[in-house]
Amino acid sequence: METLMIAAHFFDGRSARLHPARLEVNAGALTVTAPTFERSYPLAGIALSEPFAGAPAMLRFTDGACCEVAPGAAREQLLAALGYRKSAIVRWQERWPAALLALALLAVLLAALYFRGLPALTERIAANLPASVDVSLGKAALSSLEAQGIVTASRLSDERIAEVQALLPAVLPRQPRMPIKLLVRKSDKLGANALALPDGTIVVTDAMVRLVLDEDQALDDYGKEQLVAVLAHEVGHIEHRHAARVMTGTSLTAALSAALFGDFSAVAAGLPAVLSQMQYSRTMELDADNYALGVLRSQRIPLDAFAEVLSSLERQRPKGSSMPRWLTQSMEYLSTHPDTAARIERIERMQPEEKQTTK
Amino acid sequence: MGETVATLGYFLYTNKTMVDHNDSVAPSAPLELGFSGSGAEYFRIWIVNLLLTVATLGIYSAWAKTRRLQYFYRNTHLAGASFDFLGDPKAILRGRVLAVALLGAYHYAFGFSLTTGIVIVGLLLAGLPFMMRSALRFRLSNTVYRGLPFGFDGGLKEAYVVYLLPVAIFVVPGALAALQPDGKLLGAFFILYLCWPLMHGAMKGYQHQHLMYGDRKADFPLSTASLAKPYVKTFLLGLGVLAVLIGLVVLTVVLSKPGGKFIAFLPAILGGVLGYLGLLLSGPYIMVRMNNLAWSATSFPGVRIECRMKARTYLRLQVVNVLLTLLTLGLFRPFAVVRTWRYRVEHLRVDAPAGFEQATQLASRRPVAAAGDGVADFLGVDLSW
Repeated sequence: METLMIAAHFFDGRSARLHPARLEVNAGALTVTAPTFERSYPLAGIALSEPFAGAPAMLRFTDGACCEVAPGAAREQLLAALGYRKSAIVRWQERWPAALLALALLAVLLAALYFRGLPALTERIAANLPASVDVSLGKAALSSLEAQGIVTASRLSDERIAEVQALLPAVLPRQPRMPIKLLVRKSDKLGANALALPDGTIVVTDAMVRLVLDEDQALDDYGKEQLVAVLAHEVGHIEHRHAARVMTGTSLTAALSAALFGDFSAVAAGLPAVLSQMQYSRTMELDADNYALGVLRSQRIPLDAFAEVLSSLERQRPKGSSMPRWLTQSMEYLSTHPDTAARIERIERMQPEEKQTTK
Repeated sequence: MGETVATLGYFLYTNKTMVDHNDSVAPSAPLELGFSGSGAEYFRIWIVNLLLTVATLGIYSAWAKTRRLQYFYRNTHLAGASFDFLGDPKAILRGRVLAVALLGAYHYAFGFSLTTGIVIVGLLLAGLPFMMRSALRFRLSNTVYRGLPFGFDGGLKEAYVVYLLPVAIFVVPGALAALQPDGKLLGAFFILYLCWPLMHGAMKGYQHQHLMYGDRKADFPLSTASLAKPYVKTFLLGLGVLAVLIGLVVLTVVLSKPGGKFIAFLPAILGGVLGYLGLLLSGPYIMVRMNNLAWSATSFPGVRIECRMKARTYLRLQVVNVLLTLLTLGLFRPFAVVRTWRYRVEHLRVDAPAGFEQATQLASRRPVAAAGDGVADFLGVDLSW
């Protein structure tokens, strides 16, 4: 067998001195010949690291010495003589078609992960979260709302609050997932609004109650029906455990973006921040609407009470109408939150059949 | 300044540059470092790394990181030899699991109870400075040049002195927000941000002072205050620009007729945009100046390092990188990384008046006892991504 002679830079591992050397491979050993010494290493003890196209091959020996062989034909010959075999990954990243295939696979995988994997995982985790998590989350959220002065004690009369409270039992399911209680609170920031906290607390704002009062500032039957619709919608969120789902989903998305892009800001933002910006998805809002519609039907309340309260809520919002129509439409398309107008339309579409059955 | 943890990692641990370009010497003229990698080659490595990382839900990322570092180090040459990275991917994985656990704990810290939150913030404050030091040790002692590893011999006490405040800046605001939602204390806490230049200077100093190559310690005479100078310069410059802008706004308001309200707002809007741009640009500017200062002040026996990056060309490079990365939906990223690395490598020089080979004889292998750091070797803590 012919011997192979290759120029290399040898480092003994004890000092930083560069020894120009000659490498020879024969009889199962590699011989290093430098002007002042000669050493022989058995091939089996040589660690060869992945040789990149423009970088030297690095040979490491068991005694701590190492050797660099510049790229080129000689390097390839040496690699062959040492029996170097490319790993599957090295072969993969060497070829353009394979690398482009990796790109395509990555796109598919990311899409699958985002549209299938994350929701499925979210469901699993949310389903396995103990109810105590919901309770402590809800308590933390309420005390944070109170501490920041976002909600304060109601200014409504005790009678009025009692009237509103009396509406709750009728919208509850026969066996609620968790005890549900209703609080009426004043809030300048939230305006006319109702919130469902994860622990089964529903907060209705003073402005929300005032919104459904009639001209004489009394809570008439129609007003009550509207409030029932709102409460039922919130109970729907609680019964479907939407808060825990959103929370799990947001955490997972944050983790994914951190892993992919190294963007840890969402993870580091912390749960309180996440909770305060929580938004239910389109499907969740529609689910809650469906729950509310079911309650209204079972109580023989015409659905237009729901449509009406949604439109008055929409009218409350100052900015809503000033935006051009195309803009609101495209935003609705992009946003995960359903446009109120779309929800109203959906309810109204169900109404005709309703009228036939109830009247 | 950088509020995200990503920038935390970046600021606390910008020793990507530290590792590659450090070292020995030339005959008489300064020696240049060279880089032989290419964007196209790295693109293929990058995409396979990314796919495998996603497919293994992040586990492969430790191996991906090792290969990435090896690609950049082995393609970086100085005086007839290349750099190399010998870190154990399994150690990096262990470090990442720990980091993920800590981040997750922090994410949920105040969602459940105040006590849990405070305990976790306390743990982070106590643990992160230690981890920062371990990260430096791990990265440097696994970086090899001419058969000898670099090293880091910074003390633990000093690590706490240097890193405790910067860590607090990032970790404590969340705790304060939970404890006192009205934000009075939080506001007071933000005064600490004013000390950021000194903190950054102290971290840079700590990282450079304790560099080792073989058994040789680096010499680093710069003080924290002189490292913080680029901030002062940028601040004064920004103040000057602000004064001019305010002057312009006032002038337009005075000159414009009462009716032309919109015209009066135009300079204000323009000023806002310019101010924001200035803020964006000041980051890379400060980074370049500090890097130049710190590297040019670092020397090993017989070897001086010189770093001469230029703020203007570096900014242009980064602007192009960001734009192209956005336009290609991220596919330009590996090319951008290569361009940045090459820029940094090519602006580093090594000067050995008595000859490089001569100087390399001064360094020899560290005794094993001094080289080992059990925790750092076991946990490849590495906060850079």
